[in-house]
Order: sequence, then structure tokens, then C-alpha cells
Amino acid sequence: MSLTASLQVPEVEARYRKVKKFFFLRESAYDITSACQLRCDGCYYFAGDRSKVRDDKDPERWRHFMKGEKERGINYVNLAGAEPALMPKVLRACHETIPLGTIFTNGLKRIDPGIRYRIQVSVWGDGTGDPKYRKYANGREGPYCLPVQLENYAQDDRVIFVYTFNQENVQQVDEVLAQVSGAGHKITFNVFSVPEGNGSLLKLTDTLTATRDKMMEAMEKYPRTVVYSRYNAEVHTQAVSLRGQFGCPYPRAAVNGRKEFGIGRTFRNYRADLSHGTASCCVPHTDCADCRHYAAGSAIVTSRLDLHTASEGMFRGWLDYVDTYLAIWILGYDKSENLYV
Amino acid sequence: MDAHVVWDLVWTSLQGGHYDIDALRARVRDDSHFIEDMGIDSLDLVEFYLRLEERFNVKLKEDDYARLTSVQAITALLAVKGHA
Repeated sequence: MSLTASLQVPEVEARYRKVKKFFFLRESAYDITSACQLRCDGCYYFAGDRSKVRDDKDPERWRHFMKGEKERGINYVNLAGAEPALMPKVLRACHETIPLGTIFTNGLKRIDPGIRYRIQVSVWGDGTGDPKYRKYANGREGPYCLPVQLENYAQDDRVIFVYTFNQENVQQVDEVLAQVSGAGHKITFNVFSVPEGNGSLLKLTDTLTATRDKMMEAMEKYPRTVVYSRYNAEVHTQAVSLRGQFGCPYPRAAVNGRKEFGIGRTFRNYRADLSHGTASCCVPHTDCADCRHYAAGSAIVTSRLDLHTASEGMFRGWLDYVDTYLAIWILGYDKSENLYV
Repeated sequence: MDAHVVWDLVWTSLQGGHYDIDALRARVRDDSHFIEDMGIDSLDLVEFYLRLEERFNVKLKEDDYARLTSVQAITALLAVKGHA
């Protein structure tokens, strides 16, 4: 089988044409602030020294900086760490300069509706798990975030919820799915990926198969709510990490020709003081050998078209993965029916 | 090796993307860099390399992607592999 042979199948060719329009995306990631109300178990941001910077809080400096990013060819921004919603003026300056992007938030503070970025709201468990895994910065048990998130973002089309599966919370997703579906929102899945040197008990050890089964069940039970695919579930719950399966194109891990190609060439991960290192990664400090992170997969799996053309089935899986990735990351992009079964 | 055959594969791979193919055709040369001079995105380049492999029955490695950055470089490689 080959790429051109697979493209002879009308539904496959149509899907390829649909996703190919978005191959132009060139992204980088930006810590907007080092402040956050929460300290989540295994948080990438607080795992290393990224938080030990002096935040640049001047929206005009950010605007100027983003103009430079645009000139560098970046047309998609990932606004993250620690809690970007705490810096509304900076978010506005970013949006007015580069209008495509995503904000990663805990959802406890509503982001200005005029900022038309995708908003990915993190969910860590149900009413028992979420407060346990996500404590307040002062160490007290955290809030149950979901009710607050649903209230803050009622009827808000920018939002997609992201449920992170960990070793303990596979069954907890049932309550979350019911609430998110009841509110008419969408949800996708992440798999907890442990930071380097972090001994978190949330690391999935013997629950990968149960997680995969639960993902499949959720897709079947909530087809209009869950934005995911069978192929996503398969690759994110393998015993081998994403890098082990596909290599990694990010500058931190890229090898050989990949450093000068695609995301390995242009991706940077900036700190809140607008500095960046040479070994950028979408989730800094993640142990690559345990990386099953959804954001990492969005670049790792999508970039490996070359590993998915040996059979039509593999190509269908890749198309579902890219279609899912675009539905999670691009505001207004509608996911189609999965092709890979 | 006729560079036109390789260029045809380039243009086929760019169809459906965001490119102004007519404008590109008018200004490119065989030594134009796919990324720096033509602004081709990495996934479109991967599609092109896959089509190249099929058309000439060659196998490229990941390392090759960073080196095969122009039609000139590709025709040189194909010549070495017996596609003169």
C-alpha cells in the first residue's frame, strides 16, 4: 500500500483534503505568568525552574514580542503556564497580534469573551479526585473545579474540556462526562505523563488498558460530546511512550534531520520573562520515556505521516488523529466521523 | 534526470494547501530551497518525499529530509541512485 493508493479511496481522499488545509500552522508556546491559584500533582510548570523568573506584565512589550514571533513565521500560539487567565491584558495583546491559538486554563477565572482563542479547560477528576490532585497554592485541599468551570463558560463555544486520566481516576470520568455532556460542551482526553524526577503516584502503571477501555466506552456513550478517536486511544495507552513509538520532532528530543525540519526548526517554548532555551518542548520537564501527553501527541503523531502509509488502515488512523487534533486546537473546526475502526 | 519530473511531484504535493502555485512556478529555480525560498510546510514536504519514493522506487531516511531541500539536491541524489 502507498499514500497515492490510499488516496484513491474517496472518503480517505476527502478527509486528507480537509486536514491538509491546516498544514500551514506553525506554533510555539508561551508561559504568560508564573502565578497560579493551584498546585496540581505532577504539574509540568512547577516541576522545573520555569516559575523562577520575573514575569513580564507589560501588554505592550508582549504585543511587540508577538509581532516578532509573527515575523519569525509563527501563526499559532499556545498560551500556558502557569495560569494565563490571570493576565487578561497580555492575552488581549497576544490575540490582537496573532489571532490563532489556544489558552490552557484551570477555568477558575473566566477569560474575556472577546479573546477568540480556543480555550482548553483542564479537569483532573470528579468531586473526590479533583480537589485531591489539585491543591491550592498554600497546600490546602483544592476546589472541585468542574462546577466553577461550567458556570464560567456556560454556552461558550471557545471551550473544550480536557480530562487527564491518571492511575486512580479512570472511573471518575463518568461523573465528569455526564456533567460536561449535560452542559452541551465537548471534552477530550489526556494521559498523565510524569515529569522528570517526580515520583507522583498518579503515573499510570497498571491502568493503561482500563484507561483505553474507558476512552472507547466514552466515545460510544457520548459521541457528540467526546472529541477523540480509536486511534488516539490506542497510541496514548501503549506501554511504550509516544516518543518510543514515533520519535519526537520537538527541539528538546529531535534527532538527526528532524532538528532542521518542521516543528524542530521553529518551535520555541518561552518563559514568562520572554526568554527561551535551546531545547524547547511542548511539555517541558516531562519524562520522554513516559510521555503520553495529548499536546505532545498533537505534534508527534501528526508529524509522522511517513509512518502511517504502509496500509490504508494506518492512514485512516492518522487521518482521525489529525482531524481530532484540529478539532481540539482550532476554534470552529468540526471533527468528522472516525474512519479507522 | 529531468528536473521537470521532480517539479511535477512538488506541484502535486502542494495542491489543496495554502500556496499560490502559479506565483511559485514563476519564480522558482532548481536550487530554490523548499522551506526558506518557497515556504513549503513540513507535512506537505513529507507528502512530496513519499510521492518521490513511490515514483522512483527509492527509500528515504529521516536524515535525508534535512538534506533534500531543493529539486537540484534531489536530482543529484536520484542520479547517484541510477535515475540519470
